[in-house]
Amino acid sequence: MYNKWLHKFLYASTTGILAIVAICLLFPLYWTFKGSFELSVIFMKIPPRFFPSILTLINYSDLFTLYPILRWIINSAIVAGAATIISVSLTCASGYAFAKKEFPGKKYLFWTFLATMMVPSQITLIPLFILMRSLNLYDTLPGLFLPAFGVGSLLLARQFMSTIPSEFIDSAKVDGASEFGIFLHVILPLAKPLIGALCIFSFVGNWTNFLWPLIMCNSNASRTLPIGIALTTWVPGGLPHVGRAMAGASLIALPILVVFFWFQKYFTKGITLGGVKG
Amino acid sequence: MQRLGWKALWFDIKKARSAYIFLLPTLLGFLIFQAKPLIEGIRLSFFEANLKFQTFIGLKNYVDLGNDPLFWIELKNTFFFAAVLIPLTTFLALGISLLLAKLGNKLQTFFRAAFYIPVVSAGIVMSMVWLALFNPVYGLLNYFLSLLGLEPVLWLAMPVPAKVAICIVVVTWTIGIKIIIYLAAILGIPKTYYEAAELDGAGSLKKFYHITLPLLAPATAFVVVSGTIGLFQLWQVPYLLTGGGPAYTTTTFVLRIYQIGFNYFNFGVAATHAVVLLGLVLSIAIVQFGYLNKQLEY
Repeated sequence: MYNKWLHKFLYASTTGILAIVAICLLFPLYWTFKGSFELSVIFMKIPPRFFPSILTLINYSDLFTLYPILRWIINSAIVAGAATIISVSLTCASGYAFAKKEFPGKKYLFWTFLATMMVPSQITLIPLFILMRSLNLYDTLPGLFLPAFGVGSLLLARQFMSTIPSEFIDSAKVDGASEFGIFLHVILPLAKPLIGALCIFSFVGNWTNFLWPLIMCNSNASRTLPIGIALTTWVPGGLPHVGRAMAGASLIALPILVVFFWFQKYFTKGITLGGVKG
Repeated sequence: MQRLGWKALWFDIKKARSAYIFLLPTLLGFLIFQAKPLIEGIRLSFFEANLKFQTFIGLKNYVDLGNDPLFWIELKNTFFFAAVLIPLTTFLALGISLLLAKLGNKLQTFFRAAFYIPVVSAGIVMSMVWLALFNPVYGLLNYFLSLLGLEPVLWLAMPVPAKVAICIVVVTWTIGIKIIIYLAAILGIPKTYYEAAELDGAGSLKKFYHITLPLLAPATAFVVVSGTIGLFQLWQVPYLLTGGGPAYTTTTFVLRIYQIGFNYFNFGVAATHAVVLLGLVLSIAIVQFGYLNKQLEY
């Protein structure tokens, strides 16, 4: 009897502690969304109101009338979408080759790819910038998504592909399927969980990317949403118009949260599958 | 014999040509966007370079770097953030995930999502809302301090508070991923290990020290090494929150690379910084992996 009550008490207090942690971690996002629907004067009031009272859309309508927000959103979507398609298809194809094929130089190539995962991207930043300028891709959308290519998920892809039984491939071969046909009609359908996880990580990573677009964008025609928002609602160390800043931040965060809730199971699968992807 | 060897290799290559076709796009992308820029970046560190011209100057950039007091400051700051944040986030994440592992399935899923949401939210989102929270006039942090009867703090304008502020943002932004990695590792430990230990009369502390902790070593290695590599590249939070100030107390390595490279377009010096960063990251990763692997073996 005593033990049962103690157990219940421990369980409840564990849940309580974790709930406090969760509130602390989620509070900044809550505050962002709440602030985006409030007049700045209300948001800045001390003592603060922790729950929204008077809501308004004025911050959003200001943003959309003052700045080319729609253009930035479209740019972000194009850049993140294209980068995702390129990197996921390349990762799947090479992951398949490394998992299911034997060829001379396999080991060297694989370790070369893996070793570059450790290399901080800052070292390629300036050469890539010079390269993009010389290709006349400075301040263009392709200039933003082409170098987003990466082999970061290769390990995960290879690991997943190697769990696909080779019998599937062999029987397709017996049926006379071509190499590319096997990849397209046998491997890819079986690799759906992998593709899902890769797509989400790549999209979120590219949607929130900051350094490369900050360097590469010089006009509204190519700016992505995070850069545009930073440029218009932020100055070093401060937010001149805090309501618009919160609305802009909400616009950046919203698609990610939608993707997150929609594909939640892929997220956790992707992280735990290889244990090596963040 | 030699000829036969080459012939056999050529035969193998021809036989495996489909594999190379699958690899070709990745290989091309790798060469153009990673391998060549990497070599280029190392080459640039021996040049005085900007958008217009490049002149070879040997080791001058490296010598100048050693004589640059700001270089040592940014190095110290970067090490400071790593030295504070790596132990802090690792212990916190381990503690939280141990608690989380005790809960039922539904609560676990819920908390896992709650902890992970800040990780996927963009750094700019977190930085902007924390700018509001740290504001000396209307920020919530100073409001809470005033409730405790404390004086308001100029969070981002004073050296120590600015460092603390950046630590707070980084912890809330990134701890979720570590919790999830630890949780997966904890749940992966077979229950039979604990049952066997219980038969031997081991208490919970003994079980933790002799089963849980050693079996979590690979997860710890990953969390610590990837966390260190990530922190050495910390720049967005200081860039948005403090701009590296006050008086360079939050200037990190990568923030300086950005400033030198893209405010002053001094490509050679920025490349030199990047090469030093590369050396630091690689050597720290090797040392940490080696150390943690040794722990793993016992």
